[in-house]
Amino acid sequence: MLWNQFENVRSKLNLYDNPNFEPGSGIYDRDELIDGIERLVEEIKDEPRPIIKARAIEYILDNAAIEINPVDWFGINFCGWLTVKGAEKAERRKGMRKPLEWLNERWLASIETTPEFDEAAKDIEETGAGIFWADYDHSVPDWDSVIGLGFKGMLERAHKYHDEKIKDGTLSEKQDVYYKSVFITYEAIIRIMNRFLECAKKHEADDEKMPIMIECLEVVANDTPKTLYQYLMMTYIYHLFQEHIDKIQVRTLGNLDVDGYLFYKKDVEEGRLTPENAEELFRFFFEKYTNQGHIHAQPLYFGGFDENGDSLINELSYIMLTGYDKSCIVNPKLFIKVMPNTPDAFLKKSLEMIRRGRNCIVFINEELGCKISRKLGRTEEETRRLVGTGCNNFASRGKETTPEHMYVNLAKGIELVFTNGKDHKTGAPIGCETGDVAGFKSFDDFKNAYIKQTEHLIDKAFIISDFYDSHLSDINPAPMYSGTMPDSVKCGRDAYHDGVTYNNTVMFLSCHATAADSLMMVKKHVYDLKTMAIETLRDAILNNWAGYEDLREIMLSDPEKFGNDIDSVDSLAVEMLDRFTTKVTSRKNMRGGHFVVNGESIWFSHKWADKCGAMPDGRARGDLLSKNMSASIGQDRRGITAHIKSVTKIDATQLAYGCPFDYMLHPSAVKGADGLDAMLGLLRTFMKRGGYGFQGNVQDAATLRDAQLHPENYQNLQVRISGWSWFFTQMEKNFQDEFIRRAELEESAV
Amino acid sequence: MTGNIFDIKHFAVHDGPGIRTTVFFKGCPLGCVWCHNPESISAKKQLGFIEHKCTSCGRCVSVCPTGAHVIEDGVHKLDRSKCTLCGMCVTACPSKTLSLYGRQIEVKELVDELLEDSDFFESSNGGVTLSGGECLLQADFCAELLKELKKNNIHTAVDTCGYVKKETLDKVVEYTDLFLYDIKAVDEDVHISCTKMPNGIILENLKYLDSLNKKIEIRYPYVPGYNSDQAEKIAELLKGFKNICEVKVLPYHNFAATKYKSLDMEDTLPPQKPEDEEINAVRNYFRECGLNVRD
Repeated sequence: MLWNQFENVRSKLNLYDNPNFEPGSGIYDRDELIDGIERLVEEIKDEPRPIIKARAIEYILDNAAIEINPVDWFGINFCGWLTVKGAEKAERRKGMRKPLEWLNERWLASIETTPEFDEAAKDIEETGAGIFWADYDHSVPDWDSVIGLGFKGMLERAHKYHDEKIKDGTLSEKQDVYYKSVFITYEAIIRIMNRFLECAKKHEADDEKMPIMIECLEVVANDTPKTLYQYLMMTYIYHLFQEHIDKIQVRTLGNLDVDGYLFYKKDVEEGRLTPENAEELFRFFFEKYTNQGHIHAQPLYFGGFDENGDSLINELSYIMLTGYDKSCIVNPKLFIKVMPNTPDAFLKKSLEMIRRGRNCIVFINEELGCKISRKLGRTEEETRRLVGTGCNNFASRGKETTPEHMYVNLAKGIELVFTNGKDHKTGAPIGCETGDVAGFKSFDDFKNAYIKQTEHLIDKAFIISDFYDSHLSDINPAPMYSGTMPDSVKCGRDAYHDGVTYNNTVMFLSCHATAADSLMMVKKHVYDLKTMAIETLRDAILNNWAGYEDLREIMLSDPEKFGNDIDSVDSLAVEMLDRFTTKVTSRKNMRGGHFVVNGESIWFSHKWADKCGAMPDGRARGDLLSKNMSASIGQDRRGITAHIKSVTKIDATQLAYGCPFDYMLHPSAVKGADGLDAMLGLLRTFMKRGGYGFQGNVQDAATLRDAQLHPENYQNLQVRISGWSWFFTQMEKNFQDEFIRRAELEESAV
Repeated sequence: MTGNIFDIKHFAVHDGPGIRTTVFFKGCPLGCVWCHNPESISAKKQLGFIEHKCTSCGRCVSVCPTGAHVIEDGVHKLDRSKCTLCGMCVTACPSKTLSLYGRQIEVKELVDELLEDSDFFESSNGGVTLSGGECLLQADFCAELLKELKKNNIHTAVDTCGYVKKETLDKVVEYTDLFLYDIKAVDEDVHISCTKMPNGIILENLKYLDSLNKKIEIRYPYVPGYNSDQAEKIAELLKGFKNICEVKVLPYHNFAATKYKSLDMEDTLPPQKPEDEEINAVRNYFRECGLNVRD
């Protein structure tokens, strides 16, 4: 039977945990494979790094054992990071390295740091002032090239530019090395594709779908996709190679509903596929990502608009959503572009899923995205075809490499004002000297000290980001990813160097609401109402409120907090973000681009909690910092409409690379048809007011509490964490408690 | 002119179409045994005190000018006979243990606050709902308020029990887009036993609104053992009307028990909540009778 099989074979689809390699197809022991790469790298250590990287990729592609699973439409596997032997569980996979990870680590370690970098990076992570790394996790290959040219086409394109440069005598040695690394990589890809093809042929009789799979692999190996199935197979395979061999994360699987639609339409017209078949095909496709278990999940995006401004949501968009819903999964994660003309029916279908707990969906304001795009200098065509990538941001399609090296904690500066620049817990001098807080005679003195401390941290973030940006293509040359990028192959420079049109660098400015609330409380209670002296507040803060519980209660219960549509405090948030984003975006990076800002805190609002001391907003050490663009937990007392109004006072175009709003709604508030209409109304209003991303949870505390006690009954209960969702029962208890608390607060407001 | 209200709820989803902001007026002519807003019944100001939320911090004691609050052996006691309802304790209370129900508000101040939600109304075809209590006990204020809202093109709904004079309805009819109209029972004896009042005037007013071609959403609070036998009669009654746009069957719940206690009021709440199947059966019955019913 060709179709209606998914549920029957679902348990047999996880090849990554249960590989069954074709005998004699290559090395099936992951450690042996890595040993082989290590030997090879040692042999060719004097070659340029791009060549070493390409040879290592080639070694895996040529030598790894392969597998075809005939029951799976996407039953392709090879020995590598994803492959775990026998009974080893997904848990173990978490700590396992990808085959080339050690190489990147070695090259990273080989880069000599500068004294400025060492000074800037010292104690930043330990004190919760920020977090940083050399980021290769936020790039999107040019899917137009992958799908439109295929592997052979991309190889031929690289040859064409290489030949042209030889002919006109402009080919530099470095460019020659770059091109050769692309040739080696793509030739090896074509070889492994033909190995898959031969292996599939051996299994032709094993399943009714095999002739179709064989035809598909033939096309993917040597041509370009002609059907929806081939299109999805190409996407899956390219993703596997880039993410798990080239070690460059693929931050979106693409605009699958729109790009897949023409294939789908043709398939249906020519009798190859029905809508039901397409839904099942997508369920097989999604399952591959589910089984990979990537905690932040693989994004794919829906929608967009055409040359006439009409919405591109189509029949396939609905089919995909239905299939996703039935599978009850959190990976891939769904990113929906929203324009004023995005059909209500599609948005309501998605909102209805969220209301039932299928909440791995974020809505992103495409109109705002276009505004940002024009502001960043992208052309109208580039603007129309923006890629929805990562948790919730936009990028130019096929023209952009935008790493995200550094998060800065905007709340930390408040602590540093009270300690004159030293981390309160460790004494590490991570800030600058702004003087004894007791000497501040006015709120402006305090505010200026906060600005100075925060700008000091941002300056450190520049140094750290610059260092990584300067060495990205030395640490991890990217021949596979670069080979897809038209600009990169044209100019012969690595896409992680400066080979693409838009080489921006993201800096995260996180936890603004905790900072704004704290500033407001200092202004109000120390300088305006004089409820307490600054020295008293300092002592309370430095003692983590011990002995000052009354003062803490005053600060905590004061309603003048961000998230309640109160201009006094909201304007402080706006002023601070405006100031800091202007500073960041005015600065050029080391790859010929600019710095851009993302306002997300994702889970660092949690992870920094113990590292940040008490704050004037009443927060004690260990309490959560504010998350993403939302109010501090429990401080949004005037309901979701006021919360949205506060959040949308912030100019989201300044936070061009993402600033989502997280909501928590009680199920009773949005039940029935009225409730769904109201959710749509919230979403539409949020977008109309210029909000960026809209994501969240519809949960009641009783269910979450019961799930904590009886996880066995709630295996499928999902919660939105930040830019991704996860299963509630698989989360750590303190994370679960955060959601329970938010749900309780929402319940008390209903 | 001022109105006597006890709450403004933003993002009210079940009080008319779209996202709404609902204003709750104080005072009601009926005495429904199942009332889930006991703070709305009396037109007088009331102090709510939820004992189990109190942390005995004593802030109320220190600000109370009449000594109504005392902490004895770590337990907070409230002497209501001494309370002048000044509200100072409510402002001082950090744990939201104390609430003051009832405040006077000017039309302009209220309109300004309601208009802040305009864009939510616009995006969702929502608007403002006046509820209570019985908002039409303050019909002059409501008329002024509704008139201002209509000037600003805001959709308006009036949630009423219908137990008011016809002339009272006349004051607001012109500025009301939708009436949310409670029908608790058709049989008068049932109505009296449930609400302490007869229903003749309510049924007359319903006819009157229908004759004026006003859009009406009927609300039937369904309380097992009290008015649950009235479904057929209500369906029969509604057949004669031409402007009923929708019927809502509201399942009774007893979440309000804490509120009764906090107000030191006798808890009259019926014990039994309806099962979902029962409510769905009633809804389906109404549908079969040709009525438009939303879940």
